[in-house]
Amino acid sequence: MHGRVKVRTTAEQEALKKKERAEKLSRYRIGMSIVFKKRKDKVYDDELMMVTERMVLQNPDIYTLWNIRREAFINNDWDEKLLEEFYQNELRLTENCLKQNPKSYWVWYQRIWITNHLAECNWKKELMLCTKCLNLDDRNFHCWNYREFVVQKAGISPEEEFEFATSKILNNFSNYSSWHYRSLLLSKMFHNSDQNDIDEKKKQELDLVMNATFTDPNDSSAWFYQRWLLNTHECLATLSQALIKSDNVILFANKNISTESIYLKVNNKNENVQWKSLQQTKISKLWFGKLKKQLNEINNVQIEIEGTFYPLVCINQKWIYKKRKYKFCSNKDQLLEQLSSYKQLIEMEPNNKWAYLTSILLMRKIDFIKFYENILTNLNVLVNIDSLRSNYYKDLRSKYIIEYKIYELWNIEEDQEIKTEIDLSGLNLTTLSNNEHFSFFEQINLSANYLSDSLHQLFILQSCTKLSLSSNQVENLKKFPTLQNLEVLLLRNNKLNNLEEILQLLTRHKLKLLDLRENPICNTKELQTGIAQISPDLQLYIE
Amino acid sequence: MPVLKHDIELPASVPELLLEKHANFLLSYGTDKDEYMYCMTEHMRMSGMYWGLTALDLMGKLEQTNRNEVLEFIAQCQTESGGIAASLQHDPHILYTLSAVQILCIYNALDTIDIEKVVKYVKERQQPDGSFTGDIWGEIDMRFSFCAVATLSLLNRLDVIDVEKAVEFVMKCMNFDGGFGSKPGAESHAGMIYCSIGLLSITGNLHLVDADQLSWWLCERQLPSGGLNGRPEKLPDVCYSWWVLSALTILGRLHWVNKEQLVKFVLACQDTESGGFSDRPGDIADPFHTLFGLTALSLLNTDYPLKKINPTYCMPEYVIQRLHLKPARLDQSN
Ligand SMILES: [Zn+2]
Repeated sequence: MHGRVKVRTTAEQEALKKKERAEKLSRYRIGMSIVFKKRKDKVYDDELMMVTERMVLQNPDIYTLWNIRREAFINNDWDEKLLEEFYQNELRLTENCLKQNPKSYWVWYQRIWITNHLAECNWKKELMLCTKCLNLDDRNFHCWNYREFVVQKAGISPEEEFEFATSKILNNFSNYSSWHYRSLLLSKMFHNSDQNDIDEKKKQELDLVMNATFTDPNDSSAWFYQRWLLNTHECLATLSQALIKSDNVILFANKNISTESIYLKVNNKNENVQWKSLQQTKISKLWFGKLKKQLNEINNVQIEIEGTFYPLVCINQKWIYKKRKYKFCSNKDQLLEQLSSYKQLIEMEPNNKWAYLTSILLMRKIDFIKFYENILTNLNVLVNIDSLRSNYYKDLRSKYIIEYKIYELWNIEEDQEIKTEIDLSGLNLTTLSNNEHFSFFEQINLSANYLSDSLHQLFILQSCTKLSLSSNQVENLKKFPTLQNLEVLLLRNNKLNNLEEILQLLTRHKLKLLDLRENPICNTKELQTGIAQISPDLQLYIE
Repeated sequence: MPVLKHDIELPASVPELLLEKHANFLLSYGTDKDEYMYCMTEHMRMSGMYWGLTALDLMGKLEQTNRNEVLEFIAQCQTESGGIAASLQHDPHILYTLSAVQILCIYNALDTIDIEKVVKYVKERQQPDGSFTGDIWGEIDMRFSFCAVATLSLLNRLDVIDVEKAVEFVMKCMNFDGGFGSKPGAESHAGMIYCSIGLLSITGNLHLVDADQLSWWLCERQLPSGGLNGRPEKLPDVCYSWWVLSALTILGRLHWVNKEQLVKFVLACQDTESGGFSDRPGDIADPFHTLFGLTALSLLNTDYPLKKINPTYCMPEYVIQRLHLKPARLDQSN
């Protein structure tokens, strides 16, 4: 089904092919009928082995034939020596099949099945077969998977395999499979090391990968690996922000946690809290809780997550916790050096998107705030030079802008305060991204953006009472989620024209004010009467 | 522009969508039971039938298929074990069990087979670590996890397996790039990502995925020709239009690929003479790529007269609604 080129043939060639095919087909049919007959009669003799062998060499994907051969191994009364001979023959057979068809799932599995049944398997030899096969095609994932199987069976350490991976990569940087394998081994090795060792290893890897990206700047493989290295690999869950207001608790952590790892201690005693995640999932970054105590009974509050305690402070009848610093990066000098190298690469290859993207990731890691404007400039370049993915870059830009605006808010905010209002208007936002901070805001201005396709993301605005989506070219409200606390909704200057959707929205919310000015729907006669029936007290703004 | 090692050049002119030809290509497939290619693909007949029938349904041609003949064939392919084989006398396997159940759902004829036995067969495939074997012989693969979960959910019997464990196994297959491979440690592959995301969508566990990271990897599959590959530095192929697009749709980030360019690539893979789609322009067409060419066009919301396809099940949306199934998607809030 793959890679078979359609060729024009003469009538003569066609006739010849037809004859050949007819012969092949009749051989296939005779073969299959012999095999099925013998299986039915439970005759697992030499002829059966011969016929099935011939047929799988022709087409290794006829899986039932492999099953029948396995039945023969199990049901025959061959003595140990003979059985061993048959097993060895099967290893040869599968190897021959793989030579012609190295991507047949069934053949690789037959080999696994046989090696698992051998009294003693020569795993070294199997490893050599993998190496040989990977030399022919170093992207064959079947072979990589088989290697992983052999490595486990033979008890080869990740460190030993790491050497193999290194030699593979040094031999050819443009090999995504090797980079993948390397990430796998490193993750295994990280498992037993402390943070310093991990950081040290990552520094070495960053040097190697930069070398690779300069060797072949247009091959994507190494760039993916580099992006992985630049990600933070946090092992522990930590609390990012928490707020208790009347009997409501909102908190979010840096990674998904389950309620079993959250303890809320009020007056030094564990409090029984009913936790809920947004989508009723068992693990989540963001949790909403209902407290059974009255706030005035509280003297002190702590949240414990995976063994770490986070004390909350009380201000204006709210208890809050906030973690505010950007992560310290331990290898700033190295990253700055890389950044300047990629600047040079950009000068040499002004259309290399990878150099731009990686520069963004480096700047973000070194000092997001300081490099903010440069990051946006690079993103704008990417929108143009990698136009196939322009929407990806626009969404990424929105994500960074929102992060920056939240950071700005932190700067105005008093130490013991969480702002509940945010203005994100006129920022060319194309997505809200799933920024957990949104759950804390009560007044959110998203006007004059491009969020018409992102309404489903508003789901995260769980505390929101006043929301502006004016001037967002919103055409329909089908995906507008139900926001329990919403009272004021501004939808001015959009493209709304469906009365049903608006009425439906009103039945789901207890709105006090709705602004629909400058929408086509304003011309609908039934608008006011329809709305008055559902929400008689609503303050409605239309033309 | 840098020289591209792993891409193709599209032909100068790209044909219109040739629906009539594709329908005829699929309808005539198998009318001659002695045709060589038809016979030699007997070992995957059940999936072949699913590909063809689903594609025909999308084009509104299901009535022209031989319903009774298909149903009778499926009934005969169910074995004592409860599993369903690719073809008569071949062995049951979870791949073909799902294909058969999908066809029966499309025909609204689940009573053709012994459902309880199918459920039992699928349940027996689950291993202590949550993974699934393809059949009694023990091969483990992400595809089989998806087949098991999809089959049981279509039969409304997910309760018979340990869903939490099944999800745990999927998460063990997640890689450094956010993608998924066929088993723990295996390289990310668009087909396996579809299976993983499909399973997480059916079981309501999409929150376990870093959607931004994975979707970026997926949109990076698009090449200058407009086509999508299944892994970095590989050639584009029509079937990846499906594996990549369906996952992106479920993850709510379909707009990260360039639709116009992709449509152009898919259309260029039509066989303008015999009908059908091939993997790449100029190759031989087959039912597999014909289905995935059409499903890609359906997902891309073009104005072609095609029924809507469900990205999780790869079945027409109306069938999924008839079964009252609601696989999760990140572009929907509840
Ligand atoms: Zn393909």
